Amino acid sequence: MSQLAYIHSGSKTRVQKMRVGISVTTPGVPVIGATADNEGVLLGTTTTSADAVGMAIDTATYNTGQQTDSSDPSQTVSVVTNADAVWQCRLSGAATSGSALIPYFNTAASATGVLVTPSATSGGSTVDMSAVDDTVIFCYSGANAGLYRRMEPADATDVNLTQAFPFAIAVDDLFIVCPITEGAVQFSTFTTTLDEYDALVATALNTTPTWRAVELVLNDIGNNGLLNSYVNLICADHAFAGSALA
Amino acid sequence: MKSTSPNILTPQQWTALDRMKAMAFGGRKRGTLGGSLVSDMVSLQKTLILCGNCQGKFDYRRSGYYSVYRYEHQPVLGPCDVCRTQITGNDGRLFLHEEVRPEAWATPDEQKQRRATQRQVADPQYRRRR
Repeated sequence: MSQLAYIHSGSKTRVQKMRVGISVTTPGVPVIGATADNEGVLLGTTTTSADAVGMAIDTATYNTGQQTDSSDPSQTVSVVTNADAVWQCRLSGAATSGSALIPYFNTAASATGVLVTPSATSGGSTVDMSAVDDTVIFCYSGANAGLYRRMEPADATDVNLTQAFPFAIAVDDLFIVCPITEGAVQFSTFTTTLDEYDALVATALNTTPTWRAVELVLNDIGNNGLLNSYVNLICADHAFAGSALA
Repeated sequence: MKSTSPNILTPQQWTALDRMKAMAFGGRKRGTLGGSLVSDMVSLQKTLILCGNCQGKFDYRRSGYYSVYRYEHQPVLGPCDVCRTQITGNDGRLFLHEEVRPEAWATPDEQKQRRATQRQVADPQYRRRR
């Protein structure tokens, strides 16, 4: 699910019907401009959507041959073409859409609120977070629920925080790792169906991200954040924006 | 009584340019009624863009559509699906099928609900005042 949240500049939404060069079976997926030997717009990939023309907001079937009812084989998909459209994507805990985010248990108390020891199970071994340095750790339950900080993993055993949480971190406080920051570091990619953002911690750094996070909408246990957390994205490589990533 | 009125046929003089235009993408094809096209699009759950003149003829509730303007007061720009007018003002209306809308369009209510616990991030002092 990637839904149009708003237009960043506040202008009106622009929708174009565009001929497809591939079947679009799911609404809310990124589409890119036609490349050589293609009839129309194509789907982006899980890691990049260079030269995107926008997001599809309905579906279309790509046909090549004449139709039995003599209808036009060419079909169109409705695309929101605003270059500054902001899309709200649900954060998924795996490459499959609908997966819950993974909660991590804190295994050692921190009275000063500057150390998190995340584990997949209560009292279990610590998960190495060094691959997602400088991204976000969000307190899902506990005294600091609803707040997040930048991670500074010292080693494979714990995560340092430069800026303390306001309250002590207790054993078994739950945390979510969101490997993406507003406008910067991004370890996430689209899920295989292109309609959610895969925030699985094991995901490698996305070196060609064409989508930038505008804001994080993370929810704690009071709002079922494991299934109800989002990232608002904007396209940084839009075909109609007059600028493209190198 | 058998009518003696002759059939008066006035064939349209389509030019090559007309035919070329009809082949190009631009919405409804020549010879297709606007209502028929809308009916076909509704059956396919396609998104509809209608201009100020055409929107009044479309009963979005009966067709199971979500009117973006009705609930969000947000007009849309783009070519009208019926009359092909390029909408540039504030009278364009976007209609999304109710089954498609949740996958591609976040309503203000949905966005508000998703930020229910986000206030704490925006205002860290909120926790203490609660």
